[in-house]
Amino acid sequence: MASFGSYVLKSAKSSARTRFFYIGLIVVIALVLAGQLGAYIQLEGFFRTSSNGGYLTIDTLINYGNGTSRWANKTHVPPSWNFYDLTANISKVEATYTSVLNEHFIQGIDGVRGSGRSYWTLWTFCDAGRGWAASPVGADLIRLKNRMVLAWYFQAPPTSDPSTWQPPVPSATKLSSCPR
Amino acid sequence: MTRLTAHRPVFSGSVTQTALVAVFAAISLASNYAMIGIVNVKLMDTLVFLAAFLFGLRIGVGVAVVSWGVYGFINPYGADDLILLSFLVAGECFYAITGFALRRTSLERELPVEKKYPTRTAMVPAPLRTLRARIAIRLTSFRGFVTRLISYGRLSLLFGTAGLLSTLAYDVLTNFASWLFKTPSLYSALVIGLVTGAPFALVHEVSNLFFFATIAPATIIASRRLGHG
Repeated sequence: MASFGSYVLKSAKSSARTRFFYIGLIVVIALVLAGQLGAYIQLEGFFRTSSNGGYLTIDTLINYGNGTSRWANKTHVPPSWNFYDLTANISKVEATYTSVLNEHFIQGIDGVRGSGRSYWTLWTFCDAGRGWAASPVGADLIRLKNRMVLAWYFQAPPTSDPSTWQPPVPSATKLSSCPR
Repeated sequence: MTRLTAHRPVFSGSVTQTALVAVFAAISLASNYAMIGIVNVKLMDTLVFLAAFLFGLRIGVGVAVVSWGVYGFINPYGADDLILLSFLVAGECFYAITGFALRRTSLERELPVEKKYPTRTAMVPAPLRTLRARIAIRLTSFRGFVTRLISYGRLSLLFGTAGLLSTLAYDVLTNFASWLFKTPSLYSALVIGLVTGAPFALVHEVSNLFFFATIAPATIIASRRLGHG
């Protein structure tokens, strides 16, 4: 009877030890993954707050309207820049400057010049609505924010009303304005 | 001749071992290139581990060195320099060491090599198959299923943890090596490497946790049942 009792006690102890061992393994897995996730969140936070050492990261799409598009992804720009500065930096821009309006009128980008009813339209990608909205202001007045996505689209819209324009990415969602 | 080969371990010959390294390295390279689009998700680590577990440390290390020797130089993302490559090879050897070390534990004896699936007819003689007997059969079968599930689950947990810890060691070493000559101190190389490499390490560790918990035990048990390794 005593030997049976000690056997039961021993097997219970062994079973508890085994259970603790496997629980320990689960804890180890959780700790390692939590540590890595913590480091990842830390890194994300670092990029969000310091935006690449004081620089902003911007994605720009240039749709030339002839079936050719070019993405300039993750361009690092100083916070003082506007979208015209960025466009001039990533492409060859032909523009005329109007000092009264403090605006550049874009005539051509990378050799694609406006003619007749065709001209360059300016778009902003709205995170909130997950769609493209025509910019209500010119490139000089667009204050860049980190992770902003902007686009130029060369097209011949039927009217100057932005609601008749096509978004720079075919079949993408078009919004009348970016939701606040 | 028959007696001689019968007493010799099957995979001990140098030609066989070279062939094993070649086969494992080929599979790992093929899977690496096939999965090139999925960054940091690779079967190579599991294969190195399996090679060491089934055939010994030398084979495992051989697979690690040969695989990285090719993958490090012929890579669409660009070739690695020799210093980084040496760290990558050393890191890859962690999987071989883990595989070899795990084989030396009592785990080897606890592998469910024999199939124990009681047949229903064997449990209850034909005349006794009443409703109660049938329920008893179902219960026993279900209990057996749960026992097997727990047994395989524990095994998966054990292999998964081993894979995860080896991957952690690999990531720490290689992320440190990536910043070794770009930072003023070893400590900053370690910290910057750990933080900047965190997204890649996370993907690597989660995928390896999955591969080690599923592919590794299944392959080892299957291999044992076939009488290999």
